[in-house]
Amino acid sequence: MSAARIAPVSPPPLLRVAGLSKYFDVGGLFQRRGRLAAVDNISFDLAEGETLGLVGESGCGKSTTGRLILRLIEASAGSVAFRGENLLKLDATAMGSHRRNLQLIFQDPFSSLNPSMTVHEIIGEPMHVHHIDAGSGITRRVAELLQMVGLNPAHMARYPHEFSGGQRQRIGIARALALSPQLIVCDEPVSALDVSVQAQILNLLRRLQQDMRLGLLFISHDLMAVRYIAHRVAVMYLGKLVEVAPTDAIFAAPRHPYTRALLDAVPAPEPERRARLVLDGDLPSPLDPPTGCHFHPRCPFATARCATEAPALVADPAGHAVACHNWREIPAWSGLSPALTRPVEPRLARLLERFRQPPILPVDHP
Amino acid sequence: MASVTQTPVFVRPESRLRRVLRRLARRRVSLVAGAIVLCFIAMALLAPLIAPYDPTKASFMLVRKAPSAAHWLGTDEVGRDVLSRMIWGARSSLLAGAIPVVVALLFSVPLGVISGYAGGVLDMVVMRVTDAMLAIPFLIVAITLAAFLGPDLKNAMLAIGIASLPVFVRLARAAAMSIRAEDYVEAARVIGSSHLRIAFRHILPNMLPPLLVQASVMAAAAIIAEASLSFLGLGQQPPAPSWGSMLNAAQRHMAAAPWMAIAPGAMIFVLVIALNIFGDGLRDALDPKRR
Repeated sequence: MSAARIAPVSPPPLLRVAGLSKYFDVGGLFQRRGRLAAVDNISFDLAEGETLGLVGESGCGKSTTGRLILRLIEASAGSVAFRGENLLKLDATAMGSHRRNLQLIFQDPFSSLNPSMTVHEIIGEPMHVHHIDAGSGITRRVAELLQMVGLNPAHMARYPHEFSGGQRQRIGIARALALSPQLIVCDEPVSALDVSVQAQILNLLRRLQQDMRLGLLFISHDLMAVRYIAHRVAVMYLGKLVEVAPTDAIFAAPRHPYTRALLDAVPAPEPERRARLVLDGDLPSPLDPPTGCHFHPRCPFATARCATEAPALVADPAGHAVACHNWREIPAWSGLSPALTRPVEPRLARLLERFRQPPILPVDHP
Repeated sequence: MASVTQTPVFVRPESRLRRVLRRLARRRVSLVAGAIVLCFIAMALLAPLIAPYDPTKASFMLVRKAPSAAHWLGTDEVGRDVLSRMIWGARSSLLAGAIPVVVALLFSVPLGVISGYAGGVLDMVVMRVTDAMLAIPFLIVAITLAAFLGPDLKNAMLAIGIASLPVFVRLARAAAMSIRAEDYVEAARVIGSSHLRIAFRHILPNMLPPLLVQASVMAAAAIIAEASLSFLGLGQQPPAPSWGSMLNAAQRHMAAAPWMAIAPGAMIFVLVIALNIFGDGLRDALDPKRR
């Protein structure tokens, strides 16, 4: 799969996923009904300090990919190399000590915090588990982490239910940062939040990512959020990667028809009549995926070859990879809706600026 | 990002217990119900001090006397003071309510965590045994135990405990299973927590609320069960008093001496209602989603 390797980095990259697959056996009561390929032979690299956006519609396998990397689900095939070491080969003890390098931020800020633990206990737990800074050191570290995510350290004795959704998400981020990880998988970290709070959390993640040189795998179905935060974008369809490219390139000229349809589907604040690629039909059942290119039944540009031969993900020298036989032939894209790319009005910009940086409270606050 | 040099002053608002108590107190009814339960407990503990007569002392001169200044609630068929027997009887009734529930909780919580969190073969074994236990009627268990071990209060409590165990195991398992699916359990795994730590720190504290509520309701049911067993002669043995055995004795004299039945009957009624209302209030107070 060397052709599918995207933007190789000279020393082993922070994360190298190769041929990762997860099959679920779906059985009836008496017989095996079939095999569901939730994640089907995907490969990508993630460099230190890089944010890779992983996008796709519900059920395409993006969350499963995140959980496979963290070994919350065991993979069926492939490898996940963290700084050159294959995590999937590690035994439970070795994986346990590796866990401090890899963390997860959840989608639902309500279900991801234990309601019977205080914020201090929640953020301090990773340090307890890994025997770091035991004792009073934990309190200092928790205060520091709370401050980093823009919460008042004086609130560490409170319970999660005393916080709003955005604040709870900050607590979840602080917990993920507690062990100073090098890679964080963000599983739809803003999709459960209000739009104004989404912007705050995205800004926070971007700032932390830059300050700490974190590698972020940013799983989302919100393309505008991905455009804002990610350096590169990987598009998934039915368990396979169909396009991987630097963010600017993919938003300027998407090559895969599916990526194009996704971008055309982004809601614009002032909708206008323009040529858009709208998909027919539903996502096919992953139990019985279409032959050849999984996307061909819904693709307006499909040819006879698409129905028989699955396209490989091929990268060009600029690091723009696409899995499509015909991407060179399809007509040029009209671009994102102008309403989405136009600079915001000064008044709105001032208002947005207010939301931009959450107030960080001084430590000696009573 | 200023570095933290000194530990900030933390305002600890209130502990979880205090919060639950405060929210429990806000509902007047559950507060009254809790007070009534406490009164019963005090009555049982202080029985030797507050009972006017020896509850087992018979007197041929005082057979089935109606309530009077000397015997406020009258006397029974062998001339014992009903008030004294009622006060002493609170002991066996409350023990019968508390002990089976505590025993059932002690067994069901670990079984429920194992079954619900670990799953697999263990879960199947625990569940099939539970199903088998559910299939055995409670009275049959009680009569069998009485036949083998002899009829007394201890065996009655054992029978009640065995009968309530499967309900608790199923409840604990269901709670553990739903908590296992919460994101915070996955978060604990990402952190690298051991299964033991997850079970104790994350599953156990969050599965307690439904169990505590069930315990308060089950305690009421156990008191009634003890009364029924004593009524059948399988519980507290004469001459020691219990509300159930008092009712058992009273039924033969309902027309001639109704006061013999009214006192223990009213006690059971009030205690059971109070426990049920308290359980309701506890459920609302423990729910973190209610304000």
